[in-house]
Amino acid sequence: MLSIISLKVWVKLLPDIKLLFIDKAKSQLVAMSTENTSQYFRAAKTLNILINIVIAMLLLFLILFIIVGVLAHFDPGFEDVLKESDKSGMVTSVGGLMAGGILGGSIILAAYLYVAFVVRAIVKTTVRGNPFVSENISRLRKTWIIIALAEIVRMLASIIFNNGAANSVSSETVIGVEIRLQAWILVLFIAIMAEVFRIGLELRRDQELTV
Amino acid sequence: MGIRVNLDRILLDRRMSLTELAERVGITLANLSILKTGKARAIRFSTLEALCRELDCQPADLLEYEPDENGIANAAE
Repeated sequence: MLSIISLKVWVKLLPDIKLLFIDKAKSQLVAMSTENTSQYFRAAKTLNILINIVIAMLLLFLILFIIVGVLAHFDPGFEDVLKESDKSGMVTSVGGLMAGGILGGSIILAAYLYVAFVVRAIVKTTVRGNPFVSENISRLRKTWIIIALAEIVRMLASIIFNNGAANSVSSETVIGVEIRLQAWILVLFIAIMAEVFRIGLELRRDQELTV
Repeated sequence: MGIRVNLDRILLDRRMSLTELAERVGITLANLSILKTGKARAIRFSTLEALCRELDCQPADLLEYEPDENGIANAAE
């Protein structure tokens, strides 16, 4: 008799217990999602700081390149200083080559600086909590195209520079091109990310227009 | 779109406003407007069920298939 009464009490209490557990689980889920969101924002803010440091370093390098270029152009003695600092003694004339190197380096640095600004804009949208916007797709597309172009410029500059240096010390013509696999993997990765963003945006629009 | 939503016609028949339906169904007026104007890309079964319940109708009364000019439904649009 007692067991029947206790069973009845349990049956009566069951919905309340169920509710209690469901509410607890729900609140835990909410707490977890809030924690994840705060971690996500922290990561995005750290990325923002890192990208600002990268921009500052790239700007510094670009300014240095420009100063070296200007000095080499206007100060005839500067080239001698560079020649004296060359311990190997293999390169006898660096004037034209150095100008080409500075020009190529400046173009590449400017391209990477532009990429860094574009990445910063993407990171800013992430900090705001809304990275799946159409602007980010075009930004990512711009990024991989610019990195690919910068890599092509670097390859061309290295061909010119290496051939020039080789011709200055020997009559043999050496044509060599260095293909940096990591740069092309990066280009491929960013191109894929742009497509992922495009699909993400489509999914988001679908979700927004689901009633 | 290949699917037309006849929500405005049914609302007129039932003499019910969009706001009232939104309150009864429990979805926002904005979402209901998206459905009414045919901008919606998808509809949940739960929403459809609630609409049919409140409007006392069948899903076929709400939704109508309309082929395009060349006879092909543009489902992926």
